[in-house]
Amino acid sequence: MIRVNVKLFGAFRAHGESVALVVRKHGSISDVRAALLARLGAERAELLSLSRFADSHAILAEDTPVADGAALALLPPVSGG
Amino acid sequence: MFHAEVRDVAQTPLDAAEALGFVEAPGHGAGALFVGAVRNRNQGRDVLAISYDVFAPLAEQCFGEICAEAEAKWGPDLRLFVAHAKGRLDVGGLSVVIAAGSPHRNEAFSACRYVIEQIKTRAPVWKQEHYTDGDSDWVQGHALCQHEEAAHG
Repeated sequence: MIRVNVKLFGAFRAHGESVALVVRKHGSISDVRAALLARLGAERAELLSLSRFADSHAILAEDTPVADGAALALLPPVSGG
Repeated sequence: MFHAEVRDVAQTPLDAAEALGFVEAPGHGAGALFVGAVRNRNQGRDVLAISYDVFAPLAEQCFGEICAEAEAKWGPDLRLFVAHAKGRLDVGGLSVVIAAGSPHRNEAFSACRYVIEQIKTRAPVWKQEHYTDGDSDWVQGHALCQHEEAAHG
């Protein structure tokens, strides 16, 4: 198993600044998504389905591998400007 | 040439004159400016203030990519300034300032419009409105789509 940290933004701030998760070794963003859904609960399923994962440089595809200690961000629908 | 920034407005407010000053150049006959500000009403509710949450490293990268796209569309003479607020702003506070300078007005107007429209749908920024009745709510926004992933992932 590996540990990842997911920073939270926007409406997800209600759950804190970040969430530490454990996912399977050689897992991907889709595994992080499943673990986060389990942590946040079904009432967040719709917003989570509309949200994307990123690192500090790019939005990440669902099949992007994640490494132990990865620092990720969860990006809900955006409303800047 | 561009300047892209996420600014903690509790420290330093956004400044339209600063933006226009950055895009001035001897060969530029045009400067266009867009200023976004907190308004006092949205969706039928009276707004006191907005808190802007920003994933700053990715937002600044996103602004830079948008500016590079504008330069590709309207030419290397273009100068752009983009600054977006992070933190809480009362009604009237400046949330975003964009300036575009170019030899002629068409490029400046077009680039300025392009940058704000792209920011609204691509930049990792979130608004939390604070209402006069004491309630607060996150504004529903645009889901980041496959386009962003393909273009930037």
